[in-house]
This record gives sequence, C-alpha cells and structure tokens, in this order.
Amino acid sequence: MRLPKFEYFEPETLEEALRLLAEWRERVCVLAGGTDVLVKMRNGRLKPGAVIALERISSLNGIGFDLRKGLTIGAGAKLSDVTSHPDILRYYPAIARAARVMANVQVRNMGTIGGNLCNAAPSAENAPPLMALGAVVTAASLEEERRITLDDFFRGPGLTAMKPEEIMTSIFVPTPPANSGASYQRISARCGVDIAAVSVGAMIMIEDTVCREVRIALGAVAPVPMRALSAEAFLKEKVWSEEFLREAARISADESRPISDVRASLEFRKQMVAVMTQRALEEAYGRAIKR
Amino acid sequence: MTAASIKEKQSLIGTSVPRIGVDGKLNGKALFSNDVAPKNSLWVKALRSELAHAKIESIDIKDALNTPGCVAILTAQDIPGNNSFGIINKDQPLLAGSKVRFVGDPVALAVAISEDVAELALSKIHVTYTELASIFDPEESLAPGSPFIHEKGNLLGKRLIKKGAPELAFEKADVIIERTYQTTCLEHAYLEPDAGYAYFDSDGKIVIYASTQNPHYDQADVASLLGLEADRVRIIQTNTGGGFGSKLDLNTQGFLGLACYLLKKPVRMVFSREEAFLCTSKRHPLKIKYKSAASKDGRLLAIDVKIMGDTGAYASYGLAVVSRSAIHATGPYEVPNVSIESVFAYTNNPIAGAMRGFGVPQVAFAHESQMDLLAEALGVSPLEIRRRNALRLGSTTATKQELTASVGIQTCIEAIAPHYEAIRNKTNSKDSKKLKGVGLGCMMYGIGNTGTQNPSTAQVELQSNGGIVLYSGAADIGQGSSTVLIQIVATELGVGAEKITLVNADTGLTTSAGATSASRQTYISGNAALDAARKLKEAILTEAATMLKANRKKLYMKNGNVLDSSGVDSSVSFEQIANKAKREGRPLKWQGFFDPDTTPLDPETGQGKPYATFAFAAQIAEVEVDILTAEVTVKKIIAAHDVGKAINPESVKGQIYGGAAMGLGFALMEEFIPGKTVSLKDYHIPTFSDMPPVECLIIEEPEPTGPFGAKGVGEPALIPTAPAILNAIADALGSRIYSLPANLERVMKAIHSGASKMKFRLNQ
Amino acid sequence: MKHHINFKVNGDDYSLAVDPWRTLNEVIREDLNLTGTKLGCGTGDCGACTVLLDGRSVSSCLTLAVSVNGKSVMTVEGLAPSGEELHPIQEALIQTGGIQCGFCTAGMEMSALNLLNQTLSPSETEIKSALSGNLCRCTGYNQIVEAISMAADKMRDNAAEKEEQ
Repeated sequence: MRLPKFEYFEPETLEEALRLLAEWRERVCVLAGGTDVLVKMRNGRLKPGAVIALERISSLNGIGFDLRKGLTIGAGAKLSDVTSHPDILRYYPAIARAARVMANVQVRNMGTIGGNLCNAAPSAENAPPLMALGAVVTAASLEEERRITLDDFFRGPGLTAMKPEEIMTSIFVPTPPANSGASYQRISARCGVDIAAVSVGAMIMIEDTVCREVRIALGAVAPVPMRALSAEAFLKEKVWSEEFLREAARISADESRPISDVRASLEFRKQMVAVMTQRALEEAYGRAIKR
Repeated sequence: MTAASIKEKQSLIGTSVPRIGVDGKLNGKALFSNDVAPKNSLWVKALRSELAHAKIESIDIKDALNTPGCVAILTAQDIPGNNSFGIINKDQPLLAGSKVRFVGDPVALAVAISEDVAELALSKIHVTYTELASIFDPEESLAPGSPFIHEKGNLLGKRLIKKGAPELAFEKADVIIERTYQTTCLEHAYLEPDAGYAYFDSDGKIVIYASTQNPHYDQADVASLLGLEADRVRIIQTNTGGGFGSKLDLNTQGFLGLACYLLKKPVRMVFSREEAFLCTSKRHPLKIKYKSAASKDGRLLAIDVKIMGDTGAYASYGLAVVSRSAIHATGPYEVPNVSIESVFAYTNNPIAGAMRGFGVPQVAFAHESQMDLLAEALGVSPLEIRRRNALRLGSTTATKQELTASVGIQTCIEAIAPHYEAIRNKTNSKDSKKLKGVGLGCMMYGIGNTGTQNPSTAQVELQSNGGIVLYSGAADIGQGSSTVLIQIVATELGVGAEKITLVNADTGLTTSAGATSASRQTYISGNAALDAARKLKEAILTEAATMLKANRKKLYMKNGNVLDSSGVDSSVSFEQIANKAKREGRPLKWQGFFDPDTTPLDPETGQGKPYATFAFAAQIAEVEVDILTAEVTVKKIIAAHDVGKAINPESVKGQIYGGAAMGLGFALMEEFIPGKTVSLKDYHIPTFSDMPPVECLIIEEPEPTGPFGAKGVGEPALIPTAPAILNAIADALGSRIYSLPANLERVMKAIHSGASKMKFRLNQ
Repeated sequence: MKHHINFKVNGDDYSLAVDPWRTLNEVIREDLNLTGTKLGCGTGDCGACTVLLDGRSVSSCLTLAVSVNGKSVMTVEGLAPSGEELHPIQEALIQTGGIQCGFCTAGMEMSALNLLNQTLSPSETEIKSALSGNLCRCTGYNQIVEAISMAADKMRDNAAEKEEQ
C-alpha cells in the first residue's frame, strides 16, 4: 500500500509552520515523527491535502532543565533523547521510563514526545507520568501562546484541547518537590513491545511518613488518560501504610473506566489498575524516602 | 589406510559447514521475491472480497479501466484454463467467479503502470453482491440444514483410526481422564511478504520468479489455470524469506501467470503485510476431545479422541492435516487400544492450510496435557509416566505400524531427565508472588507426506573441468536444505563443499523434489541426491579403474582425484576422467530417486504405514508466573531431538531455536482473530525479549533408510514447546489451561482457580 | 510537486527529485536500486527496513524520502563496502549461524550497529531490548544475540588495538 498524494512543507520556523497551518486548516496534517500518522495515512484513515513536517524547526527540539523551575521538553524532542537525557534520568526517572518502554528503538528514534501526546491515544505511554508530575503544555497559534495543563489536554480518543490552528511547542514539568518520588508502571497484554493494556503514573510527596501530596494518572483504562482523583483524595494526609496503599489501589481500580477489547477485558484491566497503582506508589514511595 | 577410514576423514557429515548464500544475505545482494522485477514491469493488484459469503451478481470494470495508467482489469472470465487450484483438492478459484467464500477472496486484478495506479484502479471496480448466510464454526457448518459453502457440501474430510478394543479397555481402566482442548487460528508471519515477477522468455515460456516452497507444484497449477502444457511455465524460486507452510500455496504465482500470459508483458506483484495476513493460509484451529485410560501402574490402555477442525473457505493442505492430526493423536506413546476420529469442515473463515507441523502441534498440546493429568491422578511423576509409555523398538503406532529402527524417544527423555529433576527440585516459597514451574513436552513426527507417494529426484553431474553440479528441485526457504544436500553429495564424492555447484528449485533446470514441507527434504531429497551421487561415483570409479588399470575395489576418492589404496602411487583427476568419458560418449549426469516406503491408510480403520520414519523429541520449559499480573516468563527451554543424524549440527540447532520460538508464540501470545487481526500491530510473535536461552541436546538414533542416518527436524522443533510451557504453567499454579494461547486473561483465571487449590496467597 | 533533495547514502552523494509521498524505503529500493533494505510490514513493527539516518536506526518505511534532504543514510550495502573484509557483525552472524531465511538480516545488522555505536559492552538484556524492534521468525534469536555479543568483543579488541598503536 502506498501513501496517498499530498503536498509537503518543511518550515524552519514556528511562525512559518503556523502560517501554513492557518492557511490549510483541517486539510493539513502535522508530522512530528510520523510513526503513527504515516501508518494511518497508509491504511487510508488519514488523507490530508498537505503535510507540515516540524522536524526542521530547531526551537521545538531542545530539552532544558533548571533545578529551580523545572524541565522543558521541546514538543519535537525524540523519544530516544528523552530516555537518555541525564537530567531526565536523574530527576524524572518515571518520564524516562515511559518513553523507553514505548514501541521499539527505531520508533523512539523517530517519534517525538509532542507527537505522542497530540496523537491522544488512550494508551499514550508518556501521558500518565507527565500528568502525575503536573505537566503543562504550551500551544502556539499565530495569535497567541497558551498553556494547557495535561489534565485538561485530552478530550477523547484522538482529540485534544488544541485548536486546529495551534501547534504544541513544549511540555513543562515542574521540579519535583523535595521528599517526592514518581514511578511509571505498565502491563502489555501479549508481549513486551505491545501497546500498554494498563499503565499508571504516580507521584507522591512524603513528610514525616505522611503522604502530603499524591497524584495518580491512569492510561488505557478510559477514553483519555485520567487522574485517579478518589484514590488520591483517599491517600492524601494519610500516614503511609501497606493497608492504605492497598485501599488506594482498589479505589483507583474502581474509578477507572476501561473497556474490553482484543488486548484485555474490562475485568482484567480493572484488576491490573490496582496492581499497577500499587506498584507505582510503592516505587514512588521508595524514591521519595531516598531523596 | 583403508578406503573406509579415509572416507570417514573426508566426511562433511556432522560438520557445521557455513550456509551457502549467507554472504548475499549479509551484504544485501541476495535477491528476494520483491527484488527481481525490472523497472518496466507492470504492477498487479488484487481486489478482495469484504464479505465472508456472497454471490457475485456483477462486476463493473468500466471506471477502473478508464483510470489513466491502468492497463487491464482481469476477472474470472479472463482465465483461459481451469479456474480452480489447490495442492490436494482443486477447490479454490484464482479469481472468484460465482461467489466469494471468505473476507479476502480475490475477485479481480488491476494491472497498471505503477503500484499506486493499480490501487486507484481497484478502488473503481464496482462489484454487486448478494450476501449469503455465513458460517464461522465447523460444527455449525456440518449441522443439518447449514447452507453449503461448496457445491459438494461442507465436509472437507474425515479420518478414522481404530486399533484394539477401546470400549473394553475403558471399562477396565483404573484412571480415565477426559478433557476438551481448543487451539486457535494462527498466522505464519514469515518476514517476507509474498511477491513475484513474471515475463515471457524468448522461447515463449512464462517465467515466474516467486517466493515459494514448491516450484514444481506451482508450475503444474499455473499451467492448468492458463490451459497450457506444464513445460510452457517455468517457476524459479527466489531467495525466500520464510514460509512455514503458507508458501506451499499459490499466493502470487497464479495472478502473475495470468496477467503475464494475457498481456504479454512483464508483471510484478507484492502483497502488503495486511494482504498477506488477510488472504494467505493459517494454522487450523482444532477442538480436541480427548479421553485417556490408564492402569494403576501408569500404562496407557486406551484413548478415544475426537478432533474437529476448521479448514476455512478452501482446502489448501487441509486434508493432510485431517490425517496427520489423527495419526499423531497418541503422541510418542504406545497405546494398545485406539479410537480416533478427525473431521474437518469448510467455513467462511480464512483458509487454513499447512503450517509447520500439520496439526501435530495442536494434538501434542492435548496429548501432553493428558499425560500430566494421568500422572497426577496416578501419583507418578510426569517424567515417569512418559518413560513407561514411550515408544520403543518393536512398538506399534496407532495405525499398527511396527517401529523397527530409529526410535529415539526414550533416549530423548533420558537426556532431559537430569535437567528436569534439577529444576523440579527448586521449590516455590509460600509468599512468593512469582511462582516457578517446570513442564515436559514430548512428540513424534512422521517424516514426509502421509501414506502417499512423495518422491524426490536429483541429478549429479561431473563437468569436464572436474567440477560437480547438483541439480535438485528442493526449495531452501531458510531452513538450510541446500547446504545439507551439498554436504551429502560432497561427502559421497570425497570433495569439499565448495566444489559442488548447486542448481535448485528452478523447474526449467531441475526435476521435482516435491514440496519443502513435512520435514522431508533432508530425508527424501537428501536420499535422492545421495542416490545420484552414488551412481556418479560408480561411474567415476569404473572409468578410473580402466585408466589406472587398478583393482576397482582398492580405489578411493579424495579432493577431486581417484587414488589407489593398494600402495601403487597413481591417481587420476576428476577432470581427466570427465574428459575421457565425454570423448567416449559415456554419461556423466546421473539421476537419483527416492520415495519413502509407505502404504495408504485403510479408510475404515486407518491402518497402514503412513511414514517410513519418525522424528522424536522431548523438551522442558521452565516458567515463572507473576500471580498478580498473570505474566508468564519462560526462563529456559531444554530440547532433546532425535534427528537420526545431524548432518549440519548448527543448522539443526537453528531449527530447534526457531521452533522453540514459534512454539512459545503458539503457547502464550499468538492468535489470529479473523476481521480483527490486521497487521503485525495486532499479531504478536515472540521478540528478542520474549525468548529465553534454549539448550539443544541432539540425539542421533540413526535411521537406516536415511542419508547417513538422517531424518528431519524442521517441524519437530516446534511441536513439544507449547505443551511443555503449558505443563509448566500448570505445575506452577496447580491449575490447567485448556485453550491456547495462554494469554493474560486465561492465566489469571488459572491463577484464581489454582489459588483456592494450592493455597498460595493472592493478596498483594 | 516533486521536491529536490540532496543526501548521502553509504557515503555517496545523491541528488534526486522525489514525490513527497514516497517513503525512504521506496526511494532507496526503487530509485537507487539498493534492494538490500527490505519491506516487511510498512507499520514500523518488524524492523526489516531499518536503516541508519544520521547514525540512528529508523524504519525506512515510516520515513518520508523528502525529509532526508541534507542527511546521511546508511544501508546494509554500506556495512562492508569493499566486500572483501566483512564487518565484525557479519562475521559473527556467520560464525554463530544467526542467519536462516535472511530477510530480517539487513535490519538486524543495522539495529546491531546502532547499538554497538552506543556501547561496545552490551549486556544480554541490553542486546535483547535494543533489537526487540527487529522480528525474526526463523532463528529464535539465540544465535543473533550470541553474534552481537561476539561482534562487540571483536570491535572492542579492535578499538583497543588501535589505541595502542
């Protein structure tokens, strides 16, 4: 199967890209890695009139870290750069892990973190840890630049809060608070390289054995990556214990809204939400008390 | 030095001669089926049915033909010959004429100047269908009143095997175990999607380059489709990127032949991965009702097995699977009383055909589960029950075939026994969330086609420069038959492997070696090549005796020369011999032939000698099951295989490693769901990360009729792995899975039922 | 509209006009006639089409040819260009018997090279995870893992020797 015909643009500045986007609107497809978009085009699910490749816009590709503020990942940063960035490995191991378990080396050498988020698959690997760590994305249009928290970003499978004239430029993740830790856990239904059947990102901050802050995000168990707000509320201000941990995991499973599909059944997914939540919280706790 | 000891020294048998052709595969120069077509070739694409069962009312090709760059649209009415093909039953149309029988059935071809124009033209063909009731279940298919998929009805075939008095034996038995096993549809997932190229040569022959396991069959069926004599079609096998049974069918060959013949132009075709998934053959899903009886002392008394198979829309190799699954239902055990019935039906599912093992991997899952269940019921170890029942010299199989040589199953079991005991002695701690288990899998496999002639031929020629050419029709699809054939001929003629030029799998230059299937090429084509080499050797020695004026019995061959072992310092080279024979008009190209000694099975009782020899194997799998997530990790596989003689040990190991991987996929992850499984995103085969270390133990119980004692290993490699893994999971959990694959959901269910029995704690 | 691109393949400069919807895989196979790079799935799942793009392994089936303007591509044909001396990865694959049908081999070599460009002492787990995007249906992977490990040793020895000199 060959790709359908389209016009191709390779802008070198964001402004140029935004202008093209404003001109072509719905008939354009933005290429940020292409590992998903080209597959969809090949099997006829996408037929854009034009493709705008973002790769040459160098301002979108950087990764910067400032201990006082946080981490800024260019939306065009390759997943393999995310997994190997020393500051991400040191301060954000959960983010590095999510990018590392995605697909395979070749896809990670092509795919970008912004592409993965804008794709808005319910199973988007990078979403749960970024949500758990309070990430905010920046979207730019010719008129304005605005910030959208990742919590508000996903609107449905393949749908985001971005407007057709906007391009995601970066993802900002605040510096994790002192005494905090985060983790990313996932299970895939059939073997290592499969899409996650359930994934969980968690961040907790511990003060004198009390869980002061907690954020839990679930992937592949709802139309969009979602926060496990009830589980978070339950755990907040509790003294850390095995029992509370198990209860939080159970609540998290309760509030997940998975479906049955070829990868896993609803029941199995709910069970796994509990197991993965517990594992994520355990690892996050281990990291929090080490700091 | 005696001639015999010299021969021993010169032997390439049992040495891992590097594969021929690896250089091209390493540097990218080897041409595969999608690499051969020149730029001016037209592209052929097939329009395929999106309905499972429908009558074709009309096909409107007008719009499609008007597509700029579209050269032709071909439908069933353009087929000049007999529009039905198939290796056993000719029930499959190249292009559907009156109706379609599965999603993927081809209805028309577009031929165009480029691939995208051909795709565009296809989208403009308008087919009007009347949908018919579809059947997706074999039992439903055979129920009275079901609509017919084929005119002759929905039964593909039936095989009965009767031995002894099973009813009586069940009455007397101490233990009876009865279970139902279900396996699923599987995709071969060879790495190279089917492709090919066809053109008319200067003699007016249609030459088709294809990725194939069976060039001579392709030739006959393509010729029949075109209404031509077979010699008007020439099939040349390109490098073939795996086959595993699916490339035994006509996948692109018929389309290429038709388009080339009608348009008189060079044409090419390549399947996308999605198309290969949609339309090529699959592994038969089998439902196996299995009842076993044993005595207190752990001896099998009887089995009663009912196999129901879904062969999909067309027969392909289905009939072979009907019989082979029945014959192998006992496993490698002596069972005095046997009742086996194997029934396969057509449905509107994808075509099920040959896939590595022809039904034996499925029945092995059943018989090996039964053995463990019997062992448990009798309180003996899984190893012990197999020891007690394994076939030995003088045993008779279900078809009352007496085994008179090369029965290596006992040796295989003893080879893995110490490993098995060692792993078994590791125990699980009560609180562990990861439970270890170990399982056994044993198998037998009849080499070659079932109860039917399946000869191979070969020629070996001495050239005037002293070089040797081996002609064989055998298609090497990656398993290494070409190298093995060369080793056999080189050894017989006392030369290095590099002295042999192989011409193979080209119907224009070679005679038929039969299909690369049923693990038959080493045994059958190896014997044919050996036969040819022996005849040439006789001729060479006769010439040499005259030339050297020596006693023929004292002569031996070494490095392309014939020497005298009686101490006389004289020799004559192959080149000198060739020149003399040529001058004097004596033949230097000798034909070899081999057809294994088999008899057909009796239609009522199934008795007969279906195979001349059997391969045997025993494998162990060690697994770890995460009882919270149901993830199964295979930690190690140990595989003992009786191959008769390992002509090329590294190649034998390669087959075993690859078979173990395919077996692991069959056990844990592979499932082709028609309509849902579309690409490699949905169909998962084991990756590097899924594969544990595999340890190979090569067992050599020489087969007297085999070339240098060899049998075969291609399919046997895969068969014991899934049973061993499933038995290991059951060992870990105390609860058994009866449907494959053992995916997370099924393992989780087994964990829950095991937890109540075994009392391991499920709390996190 | 065709786009004009300049790029290097195995060190050679190419200047081509390509339609933007053509993949790198199509262009290197059909226009440059370098058919060593295969197409196994078209969805980035099998690894048979792997090439190095500016030194990193990518799926050539999911890379638009037009996007490689100014970049450098390496295919299997560039691994041992003289053809006389094999690359250590190739040598090791022969030694261990890690090749059967050979259709996945080119992609395996490219992924192995991508790994060995990063480290010359990969663990078995690292080898397996680095190559999990390359499927093989014939070999069961054991001999390929062994080959890559063997090639790493050889390349490390070669590097050490060079240093000594």
